[in-house]
Amino acid sequence: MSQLINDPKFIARLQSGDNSAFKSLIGTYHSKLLIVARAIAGDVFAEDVTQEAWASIYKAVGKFEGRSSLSTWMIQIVSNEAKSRLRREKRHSSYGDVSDIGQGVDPDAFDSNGHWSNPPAHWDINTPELMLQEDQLRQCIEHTLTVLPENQKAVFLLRDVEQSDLSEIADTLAISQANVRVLLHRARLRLMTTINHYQETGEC
Amino acid sequence: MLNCKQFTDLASDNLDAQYHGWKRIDIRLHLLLCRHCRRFNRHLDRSRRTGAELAKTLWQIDSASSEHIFSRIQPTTKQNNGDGTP
Repeated sequence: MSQLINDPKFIARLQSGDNSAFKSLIGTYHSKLLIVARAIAGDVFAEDVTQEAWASIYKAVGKFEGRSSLSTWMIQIVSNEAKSRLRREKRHSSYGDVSDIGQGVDPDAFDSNGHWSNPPAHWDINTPELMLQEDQLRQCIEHTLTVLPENQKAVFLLRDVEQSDLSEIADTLAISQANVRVLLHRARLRLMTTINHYQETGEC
Repeated sequence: MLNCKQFTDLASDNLDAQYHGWKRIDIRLHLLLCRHCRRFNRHLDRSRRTGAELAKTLWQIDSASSEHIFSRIQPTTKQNNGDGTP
């Protein structure tokens, strides 16, 4: 659907006021915009901010000129709404802060020289397609995606799902590019740890 | 030259092509010599691609919820004169 929403025919339907196309856009993008809003403004304001963003998108989609993709444009709108909400509430976002807890791979996996003492095991289910066909593994990954901290979830969404540039993500979430890289690394490591555990034990 | 632990710290950035020059050569050389890190690199890449593919469908809402959000747009639009367009 990410590709479909950037299809000129779909955009033309939105711009001509086709409400069923707009509802389909909401269905595909509401959760994603909510993730971005939560990462900037926090849980308390996120629902409100996202609803306001949909109203802005609805009013402005007729003027969308296609200088960026539609998804990037919508993410920018929700980001602006969230930042402006924080300013109105005179609060500062702390959601992009990065603590040192749980940073890298388990240190016990390496010897004193930094070489593998417990190297990564072979994966029997070896491609994304095969992994997604395995129901229980799929549920394990869904769970991990659901419980990712909001800032990691937003960075993972913007980079690995939406394919945004790191600098664009930093700007959207109002955090430093260095923090974007750390959060992304942690999110990917958590996913890898989940998949690895399943491949070794058959359980989440 | 990098050791394996240092490579794992750089692996995510490496997937995003964040390194250039000597650093990039150092990483490539390490990967050439270390099959465990090559496997780690493959696993990390497959994990992010699998997660992203699943997230596309997981992070969607059903038509009843879309309908509800859409129904709230109209009154909001009337009340709110400003918009957040970039």
